[in-house]
Amino acid sequence: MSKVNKTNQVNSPDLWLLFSVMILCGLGLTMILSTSAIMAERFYSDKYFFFKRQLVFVLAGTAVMFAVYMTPRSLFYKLKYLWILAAIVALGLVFSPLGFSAGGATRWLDLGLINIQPLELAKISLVIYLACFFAGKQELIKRFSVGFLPPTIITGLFCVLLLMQPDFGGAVFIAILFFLMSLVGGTRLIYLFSSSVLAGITAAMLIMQSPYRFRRWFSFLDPFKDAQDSGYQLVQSLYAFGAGRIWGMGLGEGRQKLFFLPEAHNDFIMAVTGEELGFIGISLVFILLGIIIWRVMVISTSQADLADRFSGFGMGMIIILGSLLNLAVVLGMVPPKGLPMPFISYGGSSLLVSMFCAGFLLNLSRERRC
Amino acid sequence: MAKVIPKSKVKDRTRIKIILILGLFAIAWMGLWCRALFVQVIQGEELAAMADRQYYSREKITGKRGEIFDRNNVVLAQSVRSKSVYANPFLIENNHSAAIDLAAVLEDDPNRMKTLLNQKRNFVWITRKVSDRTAHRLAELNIPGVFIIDEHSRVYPRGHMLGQVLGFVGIDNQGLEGLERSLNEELAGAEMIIVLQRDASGHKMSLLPQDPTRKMDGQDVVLTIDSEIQFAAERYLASAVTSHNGVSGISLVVHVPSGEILAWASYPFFDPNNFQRSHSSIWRNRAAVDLIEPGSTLKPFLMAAALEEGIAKSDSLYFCENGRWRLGRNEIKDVKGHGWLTLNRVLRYSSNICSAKIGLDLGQDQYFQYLDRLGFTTGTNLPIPGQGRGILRPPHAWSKMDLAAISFGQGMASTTLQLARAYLTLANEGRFTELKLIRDDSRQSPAGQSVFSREVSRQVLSMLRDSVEMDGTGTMARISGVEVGGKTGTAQKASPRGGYGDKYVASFVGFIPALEPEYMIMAIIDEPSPQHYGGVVAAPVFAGIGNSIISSGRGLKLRNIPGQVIETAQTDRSTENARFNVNHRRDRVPPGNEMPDLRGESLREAVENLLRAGIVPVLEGRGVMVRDQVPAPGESFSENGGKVILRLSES
Repeated sequence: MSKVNKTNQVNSPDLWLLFSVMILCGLGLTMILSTSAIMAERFYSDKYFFFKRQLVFVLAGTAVMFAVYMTPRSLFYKLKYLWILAAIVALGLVFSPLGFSAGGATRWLDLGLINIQPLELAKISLVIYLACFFAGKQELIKRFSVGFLPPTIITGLFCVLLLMQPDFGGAVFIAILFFLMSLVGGTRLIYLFSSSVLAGITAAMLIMQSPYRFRRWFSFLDPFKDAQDSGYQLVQSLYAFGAGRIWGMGLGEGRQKLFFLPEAHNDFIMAVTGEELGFIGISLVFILLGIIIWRVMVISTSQADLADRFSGFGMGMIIILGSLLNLAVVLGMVPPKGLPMPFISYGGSSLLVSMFCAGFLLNLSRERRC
Repeated sequence: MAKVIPKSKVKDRTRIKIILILGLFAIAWMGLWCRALFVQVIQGEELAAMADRQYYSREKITGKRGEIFDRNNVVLAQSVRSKSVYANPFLIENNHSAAIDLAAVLEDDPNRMKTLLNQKRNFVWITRKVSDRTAHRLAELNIPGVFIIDEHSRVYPRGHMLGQVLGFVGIDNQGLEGLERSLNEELAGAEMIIVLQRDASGHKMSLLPQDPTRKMDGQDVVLTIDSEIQFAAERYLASAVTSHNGVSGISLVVHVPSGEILAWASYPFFDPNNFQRSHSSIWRNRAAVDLIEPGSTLKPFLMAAALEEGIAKSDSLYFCENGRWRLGRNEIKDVKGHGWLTLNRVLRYSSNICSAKIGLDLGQDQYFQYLDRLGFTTGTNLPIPGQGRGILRPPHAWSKMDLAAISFGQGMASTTLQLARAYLTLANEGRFTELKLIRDDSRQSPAGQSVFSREVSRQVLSMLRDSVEMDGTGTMARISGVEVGGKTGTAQKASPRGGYGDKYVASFVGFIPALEPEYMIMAIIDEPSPQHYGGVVAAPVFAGIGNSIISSGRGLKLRNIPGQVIETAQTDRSTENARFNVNHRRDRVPPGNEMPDLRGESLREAVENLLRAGIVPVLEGRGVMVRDQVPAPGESFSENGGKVILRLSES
């Protein structure tokens, strides 16, 4: 290992990735100011309410990114069980008085200064845990009891806790993350297949139990059929994209954020971006995202150490999966689920975690083989 | 070593897996990018159009309809603010309970409400022009999606006074009848479509730029009517029609030198406040629309024409055949047989036989020419819709009998207005004079051509005086203290089956004073019975109205000082208005650059007021009432750097 490090050390962060992340953060700040100003003025009498908070998050996130970049990775790996424990405790605390409800679901912990979303913590801890697990037990992972059960149980616990919130989208995200990590980590395909079939059946049952949920889930196929109710968000989102055309209506000129589009500065911020900056602006985001996919591929595949490789892949997936799912939701390709757009959407937890992942990838990029 | 090989193999396999998975994600990434291209560029136009529909709410703001005043600035037709209720069904959460609540307050059918609220539109009228109390109760219910807006409704504070002349307006303030219809262009407030950008909660966010210089309110109209005289005219007309069992009646008072109509009454009365309750036959303006045979009231023009042409003199003798005269196959009768009569007595006793003889002497072409110049072939230029032009056949189509009949006012028809105008011409020294109803100097018609000479018209006026003041048919028209003149008319009505039936039109046209007339008063009563003589039925109306004009202290001054009346009228307007205002005026934008006090007003009202002054306000907070404003009331608009802020609250 030491030999590999010596020959391949670059010792400088991946600038492609760093700049992409910083541009996305800047774009996010701009769009948050644009989307939330009117709403913030009405409800908080301060146009810059969300902007100011997001600016603090970006600064904090940059600090986190730098800290993670500087910290030896072994420190994270050693503390993997602590991470898992912290995530489980956080997920459990949601049901304590510290839990904070919004929109009929308790997904937040009120820590006084900021609210954190335990889901975000769970993502990171799961990636680190799974990376270490698959790296350390390569010979054993094909055995069911060792290679499959422990991570499945932990992931299952996360999912159950998330479903209790209820946060269906979060549970699905964790499950997909687990599935992808296992796929790369080398668990037998048959286990993965059967577990995903099992997960599918559970999801289907959950959906069928509540007709509203079912209707909401499948309204994306034809949102205009019920544009005033279950298809509302998506229709408004598509209106926004459509109104943007190629060049956009101009920054601040968007109209969908005038309360037509719920969560305009949050989950649906890309719709407003599409409206105000047009296809050109959306393409910029896609290009930056493409760069991130490319760099994640380069960084993770160039890692000699399996734990590094898996964690690099996992951290990258948190960002990429989050981005693509968010874009798919706002563009009406998957059922609408509350998933923020990494780096761009308003929200401390999501941004800090995304920055953590970026920091981790930058950390890895110092030791990639060129 | 053997341990390392499989490990690196595993590593390589994971690398390929990572590349494969990220490759799949790259495909998804590409797919989403294409989706964005599709949504934004290919479907963009369609989606943008759909989105537009929800952003803008177009609202029609109509300026206040102009008001109608009489010559002394008494309000005859007025616009008052009233509340109307509309709903945006999309914003109503619970149609069922909203419908029940609405129905309870409006005392309406819940099912009707439900049908209204179930419409897939974003604007439905729930009810128009409700009382302030009802509006207040609705506002208290605070049903989301139900809104109350201000409209103007038309009020006629003097009830039925001048009803048929004023006409009325429909629910959207469009003039439907009378002056309201013919002057709609002047009266109607300008319509301005203001486009408001909305947010999803239905709040109006910003106002798109528009032309702030446009004047929104309609023009006021001042009539020549004097409501005191109008009141007298209506009163005496009503009593004459009812006491003589008539069907309907018309009375008209005209200021002779100017041709200004001072009173114009039609009975049965019609209250434009409530036009739906009356039949259209009642709101018809008979004086302008209905054609009547003038009968004996046409005779003075025959006399004047004969005198003018030198065919007769006032002492020319005519033989009246003792009441019966056969002309060809027809027989002409007089009410009372006379022998030889001088011309002035022919008029005084209203002999048909002698009139026919004079007419035959005059000849049809000459006679027609005079009738034509007197206006019997043209309508008046009063702004009254549906005016008749009379029926007067061209002279070459007249038989001898036709000429005879037209000489005493039968076999032709005119409107009451045409007849009044002809009398006006006679009274104005033979100069053709148009009637006027609107006090507007720009409408001043040029001095008309002279139809009769001064001497002739004076001669005829003195004949008319004699028929009242001496022993003529109009003795019941006498007014003590003033010498008056006039002509009675008792026309048989042509029956629908042809010929003449036993129904009559009794009329009287008279002048005060007789020789230099200041007022012309006309009264026509349709189908009086059993008494049907104009001198009995209509002449007392003249006397009654004339008496009240003279005793009012207003009379006999107009001739000399018409200009001065206008002056005082302008200054009096505000005080007169205040008396009759149902609702005090809320023109909160004072002239100049001062901020009005908008606090406590509804958002809509405040915005409208500011828009009229050309100011687009910035709205802060949510709600429908103005809580506070910057700049403060009385300060200049530009105080805050030209930015006018309205802070809103819910109530």
